[in-house]
This record gives sequence, structure tokens and C-alpha cells, in this order.
Amino acid sequence: MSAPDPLREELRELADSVAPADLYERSLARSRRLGRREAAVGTAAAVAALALLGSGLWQLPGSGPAPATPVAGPPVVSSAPAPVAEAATSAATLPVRPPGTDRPDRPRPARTTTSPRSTSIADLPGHIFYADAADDGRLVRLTPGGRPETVLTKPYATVGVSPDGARVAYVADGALLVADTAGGDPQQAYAGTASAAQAPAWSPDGSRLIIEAAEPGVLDMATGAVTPLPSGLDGQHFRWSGDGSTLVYATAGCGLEVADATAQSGTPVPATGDTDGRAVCRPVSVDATGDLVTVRLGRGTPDSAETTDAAGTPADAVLDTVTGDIVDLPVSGRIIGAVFDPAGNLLVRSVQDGRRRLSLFAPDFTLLLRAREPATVADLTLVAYTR
Amino acid sequence: MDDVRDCAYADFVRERSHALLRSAFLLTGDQHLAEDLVQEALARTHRAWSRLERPGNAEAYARKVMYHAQVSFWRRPRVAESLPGDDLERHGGSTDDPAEATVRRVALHRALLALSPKQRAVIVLRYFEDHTEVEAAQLLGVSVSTVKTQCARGLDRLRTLVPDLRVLADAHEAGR
Repeated sequence: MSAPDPLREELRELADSVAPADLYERSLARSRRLGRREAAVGTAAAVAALALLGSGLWQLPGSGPAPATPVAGPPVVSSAPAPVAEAATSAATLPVRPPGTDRPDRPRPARTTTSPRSTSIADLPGHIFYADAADDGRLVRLTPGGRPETVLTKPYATVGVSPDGARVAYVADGALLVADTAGGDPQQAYAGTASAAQAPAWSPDGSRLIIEAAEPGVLDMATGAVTPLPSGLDGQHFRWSGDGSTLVYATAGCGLEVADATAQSGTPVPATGDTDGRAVCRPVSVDATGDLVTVRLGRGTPDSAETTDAAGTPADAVLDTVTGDIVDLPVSGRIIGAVFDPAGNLLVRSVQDGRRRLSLFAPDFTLLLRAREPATVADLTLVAYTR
Repeated sequence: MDDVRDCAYADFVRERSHALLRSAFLLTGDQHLAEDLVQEALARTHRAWSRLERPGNAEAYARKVMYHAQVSFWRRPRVAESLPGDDLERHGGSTDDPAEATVRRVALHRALLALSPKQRAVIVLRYFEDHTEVEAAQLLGVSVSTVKTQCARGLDRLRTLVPDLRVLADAHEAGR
């Protein structure tokens, strides 16, 4: 028998330090609390849908009752992009469209391949953010000139890039920190945030963040106050639409829900056969109005929704939040990342025969750019695309 | 859950809680945080009990939840300002002296907490639970190269903080 490995020996001895504990009753109590949360989500959604269908309010978009506490609603003064007037994005109208219904009123990609306006990465108008999963998530920004630069080197659990690309919010050691991507020391924005189920989600104007404190809540960056989301919005992985009107989030049971940012409860996105049996466990980014969302398709187990929210799991599909259909993108090869910017431009990363390409679509799915991705970011994971 | 499942879950908790607690203690460095972490893992295992194909999968499921939670978001205690492991370099070298052994253990305790959560998880998976790199990667949901990188960095850091561990023979295990 070989000599004992000192590290193994020491770890075993250190583990002996822990005292036994009876966790049976405690785990059952926690399980019951988790069960009540899941039941509350289902009940609230069902009640809301029945009430809306029964009252006929769905025929009158925008005529629903005023919310009591619009904590996630648009700020009074906002520098957010001008909202796109889309009454159909209201949560109240969502249940009336059966799955699979064509939506001719909405722009969708052309079925045939079109020529891009540019094939040069130098013409990319925004900034792309990547994470290096092998390096504690080191965050790299690809500038319009195609030059990568590291903007965050500190280890983090989850990260969110501000809509203007100027700041990153990240969770480390149970605290929320915010750092300028131009450099400088990070500042603690909140102590006690802790969740794999909620990366810091910036509001479109960059004034607020959805974080997981004791419960999911909206952090006002100016005051430091956190306002819990309404209990009816019981989910995880909350994301804002680019106009701030809509929240998209995942349920504990691996489904998606959409809610008006001022609503007290959400509406389920219909499940369709489009996802090939895979569950939609995680919204990654939302377009300008909440009409479309980039998603990570998963196996449909709780693990799928609870694993690390950060950069390790990029979106691989675009989903219509009203019909539940997957949007067929005119991209060759396999999609290995897809993100909307707040204006609704869609950046798609794909790989075919070992070659990685970036495709940038305008909100009307005009192909603005298709270019080879710089090899320097080949091993990194797409996180965000900002202006 | 029906009675049979209740009994199976109770048996599972009774038989495996302490093993989970031992890993959780290495991951969190704190008795109470370890209990909270295991409680969360057990609760989610209880929620998923009916979906587990056989009770034997329960521990693997619980461990997966536990490691994901720890790496992703679990609270990490601050390393105490002053512990008996201060001036670690002065305590190098093997000894049977119980006091020295205690100091060395405290040093390892502190050194583990100085690692990033992912590095700590990989070290515990590889050197406490004796998982291969492939198994650790599957459990954490990361690539094997990430496990290798995090493991190498974690070991380097441990060797710096706890000189006793410089004799650690990890090279021959690199390909496991």
C-alpha cells in the first residue's frame, strides 16, 4: 500500500471536525416551503388566466387593473430606449393565442439565406462580452475593431453586463459588486445577495438591478434599497425586455413566464413541440418588447434551472413568448450563443466545420453583419452584446 | 409521498447525512453553513424523490445539488482575522505532535477558504471524494479542462499556504 497522500489525509481529518446533525425534520420543512412556492406559481397563473378569460379583459389590451406595486416597472425618469408600442406584449393578452399560431404582424427571419450588409467584424457596431469558463469566468470584451480586452478578472458566481456595456454587476462571496468595464475598483452595491438562479439583471436604463436577496427583488442603484418582486412572480432567471415593459423568467418547473413589469403575476409561455422535448429552463436575454427571448434549452429537470446562471450556459435558441414557437434563424451550423441587445438587435454565434461565425440581425431580422469570429475568443462563452 | 417513500427518504437521510455534512464542511468551512447546505440539498432531493429512478440515485442527486449550490451562490464565511494558523510557513514539516497537527489542520481550513468556490469544489471532489477529473467535470457541469485548470490553481494555492502539502503527489494522477 502506498504512503498516504497528505492532502487526502488532512482533508479527512478536517472533515472529522464537523458535528453530526439531525437534518430530517429540517429538510422536510424546507421541502414543504419549496413545494408551497411551486404551488403558488401554478395557482396564481391559473387564476390569472381564468380570470382574464372569464372577464373578457383580454379583448381590451391595456384595460387591466392598475398594479398595486409596480416595483419592476419603468422608472419615472428614464433614459431607456423609447418603448415600442406593442399592446400585445401585455401579459393580459398572452393566453388568447393558441400555440403555433402564425404571427404575421411580427417580423420574422426570411426563410431563404440573405446577403449580409457587411462581412467585416470591424463593422460590428456594438461590444460583445465573453466569459472564460476555465479562468473563473474572466470577462472579455470584444470591441468593434475586433480587439479583445479583459474587463473583469475577479472570480464571480454570476454576472450581468449593463445595457451600455460600461458596467458589470457580479456576485462574489455573497455580495453584489459593480465595476466599470473601463477599469477601477469594484464597489459593493449590496451585501447578502446569493443565488445561482439570478444573475444581476440590469434595467434598460441601468438604474436598477434584479437580484436575489432573500427573495428576488429590484435593487435601486441610487438608494441601495431592494424592493421584493410581487409574490406572484415566483420564478428565477428574471430578465428585462429592452423597453423595460416586460419581465421574462423561468419557473421552478422548467417553464417560461412573461409578466408586464408592473404586474402582480405572470403568464406561462405555451409549451409546444418545437423544442424537441427539451425544456425551456432559462431565459438569457429578451428583445426590445418581450416578444422574443433567447433561451437555453435543457433536459427538463430541476438541475437545468438551478445550475450556475453565469456564462457557462449560453442560449442556443430564440423563442416566441406568445406562441412558444422556436424562431427558425437563417444561420448555418449549430448555434452556440444568442443574445439580444436592449434595442432588439440579435447577435447569434454559430459553429460549422470548426469555424465560428457571428451574425447580427436588426429587430426586423435584416442581416446586418456576418463575419468570422476572431480566433482569440474561440474558447470563450458568449455572455452579452451591448451598444 | 407515500409511506414507503417516506421511509426510504428517512433511511437515506439517516444513513447519508453525515457523509454529506463532511463534504459540506470542507466546502463551506463552517458547521452551520454546512448544515444549511446539506439541508437545502436534502430538501431538493426530497422534492425530486419521485423522479429518481432508484433510491441509490438520491445521494448522487443530493451531492450534485450541493456542489452546484456551493459553487454558484452559497454564502462563504470570512476567513478569521487571526487564527492559530498564522505564520504558516513556520509550521512546515511532518510531525506527530498533536498541537502541530491541529495547527496544520487549521492552516488547511484557512487555505481552503482562500480558494475560489470552484477551486475548492474541485479539490474536495478530487482529493476528498476521490472522483476522477471526468466525474468531477460531469458533476459540476463544466469541461474536463476547466477541472484541470481549477485543480492546478487550487493545488498551487494550497501549496503556498500550507507548505506541508508540497509533497502532494498529484502529477501521476493528472490523467485520471
